[in-house]
Amino acid sequence: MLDEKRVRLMTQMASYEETDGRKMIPVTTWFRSDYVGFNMVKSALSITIVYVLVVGTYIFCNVEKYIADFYKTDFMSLLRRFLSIYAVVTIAYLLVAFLLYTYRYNKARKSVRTYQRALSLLLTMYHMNE
Amino acid sequence: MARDTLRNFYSRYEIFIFPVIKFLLALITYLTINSRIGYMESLTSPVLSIMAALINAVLPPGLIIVFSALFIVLHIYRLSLVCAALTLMLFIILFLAFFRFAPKNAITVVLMPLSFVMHVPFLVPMCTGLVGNPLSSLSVSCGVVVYYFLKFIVDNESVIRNPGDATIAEQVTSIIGSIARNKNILLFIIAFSVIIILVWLIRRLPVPHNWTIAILAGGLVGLMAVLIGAIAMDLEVSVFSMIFNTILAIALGFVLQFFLFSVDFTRTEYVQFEDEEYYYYVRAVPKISVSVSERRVKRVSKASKVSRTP
Repeated sequence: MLDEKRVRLMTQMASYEETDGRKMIPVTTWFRSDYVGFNMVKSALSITIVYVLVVGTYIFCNVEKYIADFYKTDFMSLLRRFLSIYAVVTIAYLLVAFLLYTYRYNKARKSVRTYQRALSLLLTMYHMNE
Repeated sequence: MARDTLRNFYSRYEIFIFPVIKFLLALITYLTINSRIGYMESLTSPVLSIMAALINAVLPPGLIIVFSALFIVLHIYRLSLVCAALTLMLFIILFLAFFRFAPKNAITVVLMPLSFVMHVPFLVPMCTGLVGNPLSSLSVSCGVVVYYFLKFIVDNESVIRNPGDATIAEQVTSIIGSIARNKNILLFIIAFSVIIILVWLIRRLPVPHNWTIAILAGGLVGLMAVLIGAIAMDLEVSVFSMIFNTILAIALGFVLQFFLFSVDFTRTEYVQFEDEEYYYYVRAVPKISVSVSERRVKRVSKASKVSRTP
């Protein structure tokens, strides 16, 4: 015998799984620190590639100047400058990433909580039928 | 009445509406790219654009950006290898640094240059402010950079094609320097970000007519930001064009408001699940309320057999 109330609840849950839940449910399978940390590692990797591309282009454009002034150029101070800019840019970028991914995790938890409540209700319905 | 018609139309043809919109957007994008920077003749065939747009119609909208980037890089490769490499690098930087934060809004990177080409650049920030979030300003800013980068290539086509004695390093320095010195980029990034954030902030306020206030404030403040910025940066901006743009953006904002509040975008859903006893194949159809004016009551009595519509 079909339980109309149960079918309705299952339909709502399946609909959530197909729409918002598709992105939200996987997020909540992580611990907050793991999720934020993993995404920050990805962000650090992205910004490093971007920085290497930018610095690479800068060096490529000025390579003739550096070759001409090879003995006059203080390469150590140049390297220090590149590294300090990299540190500042990366820290700023990671701060934004930290805030964003923490917000996204909290939002996902909030969204999935309703789904989990529906799941418990569904289990109760099954137990009552038994 | 119009709302109900719209709602009925949407619920009836919702399966086709989104693919058709994606197809049209992709087609317009590819045709615009081909007409503006169609340096590689084999890519300019309309059949190819239609085929690519048809593929986009059934795939996620983000792929329009991938296809567009591919078209752009190939066209520019025909013009200059150095320029193509720089374009590819620009796309990689934008993708790695910004798109990953706002992948949902990535489509605005395509819409922004398109709206510039159509001389209606205010429309995109207004719409993204109404339907998006502050992160949309990242995608819109990327769109502004892409537009001005491509504009520079189109404007300096002959110099790029025949660089003379300039070395590759000199060419790269010249292109990057020209883009970095272009104050229009900064002006529009600031103005559009102001519009998006302001519209988003006001439309979320718990006050009556918040959407109307957001649209009007966004349009007017955006106009002021462009005009003040242009004076401060000593840039030439057509005041009439900007006023026209603002009016158009405000009008579109109201159209968008009408659509968003009139049509229930909850789609008919087909879901499948199972329990120990059954397999369920459910079609969930959103309820549609019919307005009073459409309800026809026919009264038949012995005294007068007249039908009337209240």
